Amino acid sequence: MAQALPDDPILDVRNLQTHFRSEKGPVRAVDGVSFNVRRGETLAVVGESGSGKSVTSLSIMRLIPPRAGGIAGGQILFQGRDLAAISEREMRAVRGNDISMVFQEPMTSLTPVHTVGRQIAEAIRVHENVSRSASNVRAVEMLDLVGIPEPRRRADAYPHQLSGGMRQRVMIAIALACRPKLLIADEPTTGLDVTVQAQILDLMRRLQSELGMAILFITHDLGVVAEMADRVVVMYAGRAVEEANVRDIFRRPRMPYTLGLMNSIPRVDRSLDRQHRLVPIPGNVPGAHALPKGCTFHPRCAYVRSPDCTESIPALVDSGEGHMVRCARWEDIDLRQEAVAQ
Amino acid sequence: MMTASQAKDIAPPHPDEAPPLLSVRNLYKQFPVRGSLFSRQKLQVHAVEDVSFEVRRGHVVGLVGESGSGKTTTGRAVLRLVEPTSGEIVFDGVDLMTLPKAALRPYRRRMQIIFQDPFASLNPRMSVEALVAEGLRVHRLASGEAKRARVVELLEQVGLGADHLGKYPHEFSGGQRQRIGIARALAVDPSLIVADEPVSALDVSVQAQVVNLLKDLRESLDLTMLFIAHDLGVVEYLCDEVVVMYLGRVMEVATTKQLYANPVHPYTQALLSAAPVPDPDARRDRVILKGETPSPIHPPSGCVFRTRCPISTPECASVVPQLESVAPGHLKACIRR
Repeated sequence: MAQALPDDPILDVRNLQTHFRSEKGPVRAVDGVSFNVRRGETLAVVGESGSGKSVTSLSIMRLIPPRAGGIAGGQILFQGRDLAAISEREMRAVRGNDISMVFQEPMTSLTPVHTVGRQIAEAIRVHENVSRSASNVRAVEMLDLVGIPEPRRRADAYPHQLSGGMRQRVMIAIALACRPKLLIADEPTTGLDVTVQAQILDLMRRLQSELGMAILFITHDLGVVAEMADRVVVMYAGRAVEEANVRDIFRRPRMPYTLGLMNSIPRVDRSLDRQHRLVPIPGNVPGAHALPKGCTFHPRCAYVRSPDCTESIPALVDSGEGHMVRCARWEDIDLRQEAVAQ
Repeated sequence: MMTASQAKDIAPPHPDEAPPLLSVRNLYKQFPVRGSLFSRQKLQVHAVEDVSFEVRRGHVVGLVGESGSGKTTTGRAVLRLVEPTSGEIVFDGVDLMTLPKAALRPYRRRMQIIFQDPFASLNPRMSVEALVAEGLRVHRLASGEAKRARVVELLEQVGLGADHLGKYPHEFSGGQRQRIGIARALAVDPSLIVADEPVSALDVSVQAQVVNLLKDLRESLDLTMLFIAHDLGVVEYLCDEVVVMYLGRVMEVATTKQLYANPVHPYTQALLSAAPVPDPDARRDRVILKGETPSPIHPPSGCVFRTRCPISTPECASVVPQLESVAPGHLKACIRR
C-alpha cells in the first residue's frame, strides 16, 4: 500500500466531461472531473447513486455505448497518451492489456457457454502471441494465483457452477492475466456477503503488492475505502468535491458532504454508549435533470450561505498539502470538531 | 430436533417478565427442488432448521445473517407468507400454525411487513393516499373523512406532508418510497412489524434518515419489531437483541450489547470482524473465513458452520450443537465455546 512510491501518475484524468443523450436534453453525468492515479497506489472514487463515479470508470475504458452518449471533453492521459483521442482499434489493444476492469456483477461479465479456463486463456491470447497450450497453462496459474482451490479441475468449470465469490475471483484472474498496469475495480464486492467481501479485498491487496499494479477503486462504501485506499476522491452529482489522502479524508474532511456521509454510517467499531444519534444528510441526491444552481450540494448543506453557495459553482481548490476541496466556505468552517465527536 | 428439556433450557431468558409477543419454536422450512433436468431425484432446500427465538413487547430483535442464512424465510414464515414445514409460531399466546388460513385474518392485521425494495413493493397505479389507506379499507378500520385524516396523520408521522396524497410512487425517491412503505405498515396499528432489509437498497445519506425514522417511531409508538438485516452497524443502532443465523440455523442469541462486546460463536466473531470499518487506522486483526456458505440442499452434518470454522474438530461433524446459555439472555450453539 503506502510504501515509498514514485510520484509520476500512470493515469491523469483532466477535466473529463461525459454526457448522455436523453429526452429532456443532454445529461452531464461527469462534469469536469480531474484526478490522477500514481504507479502502484490505490485511488478510491467514492460517491452515491448519480455521483458519476461509474460513468467515470466506463469513460476511461471507453465503454460508454455511442448510442447513449460519450466523452464530450477533457483528456484521459494513460502513460502520457490520451485515451479519449485514440481510435477504437487502438483502444482494444489497451483494454484488458494495460488497463483491466472488474465489475460488480461477475455473472453478466462472464460467458456462460465457455469454461472459465478457456475464458482466461482467450483473454491472454487476444493480447499475446502465445500457443493455446501455453495460454491454458497460464490460465491454471492465474486461477491458483487468485486463490481458487484445485485450479486444474476448476479450469474446466462453467461460470454457473461457481459461487458468487469464486466468479469474482475468476473475473480478477481474467483482469490480471496480462499483468495490467492499472486495474479499475467498479464496486467489485458489492452484493457479496461480508465474509466473502473480506476474502476478495484481502486478495486484491495481496495481488497488488505482488504484481505492483495501480488500482482505481470505485465504491459507495466508506468502510471499503478506509481499508483499500491510499488516496480518495469524493464525487457528488457529477463532480469531484474533495480529494485527499485517506487519513485526511477521514480525520479532517473539509467538504460538508464528506462529513455528512461519515456521520450517516452506523458503525460497529464504536461502542453504543459513545455512539449518539446518526446525523443524516437531509433531502435527496439530486436528479441529473434537476441540479441545483451554485454548489450542487447547497440545498442539503448545513453550512449554506447565500450568495456564496447558491449562485456560482465553487472551484476545486488546494486547501494545503494537496487536499482538494470544492466548497466556498472551507476556510471559515471547521468540520474537524464534528468529525472527532462522531 | 430439540428435546423438551432443551427447549425449556432456552425458553425465557427473563422469567419475571410478561410472556413474549412472539415466540418461534423449532421452526423448520424445506423447499422441494428438482435435481438435474432429467433426474427424478427429489431434493430439499433446508432453508430454516430448528429455529427458536422470542420477541418481547416493545423490543426490536435483529435477525442477521448472510445470503442463505434463512433470515428472510424465517421472517416470512412468521407471517405465514411462506408456509412453515413444522414448528410453532406463538403470537400473543396463540399458535398460528394451528389456525386455518381463514382464521388468520385478524392476525394478518396485527402483523405487518416492510419490504426491502421500495421500487417493487408499491403498486405504481395507486396514489399515495390509496396505498397508505389500503390496510384501513381492507380491514374496515376507517372510511371517508376519518380515513383521509388517518392517512394524513400517518404521512406526517413518517415525515411526508399531506400535499403528497395525490402523488404516485414514481414521483418519489427511494427514501421517500420507503417512508410510504412504513406508513402503509403502520396504518392498521400493528402489534408486530417484520422489517425485511428496509434500508439496504438506499443511498447511505438517505439510509440514515430512514434508520432514524424507525428509531423514533419505535420509541413514540412503542413498536415491536423483527428487523431482518445483513448490515451489522444498522442492527447495532436499532436493535435490543440479535439472533445470528447461518445456513438455516441459529448460531447465537444475545442482547445487542453482549453480542457486539463479547461475541462467543466463531461465526459471529468472523462476521463482526469482516465488517469494513470507516477508519483507516482501525486495527484489522481480522478472521478471514475460508470458502463460502455451503449449499442448503446438502448442509454439512453436525454443526453447519464447521466447514468454514477456524476451531472445528472432528466431533463437530457428528453433533448438532444446541443453543446453550453462556450468560443471562446470551445463548450460543457451539460445542467448542
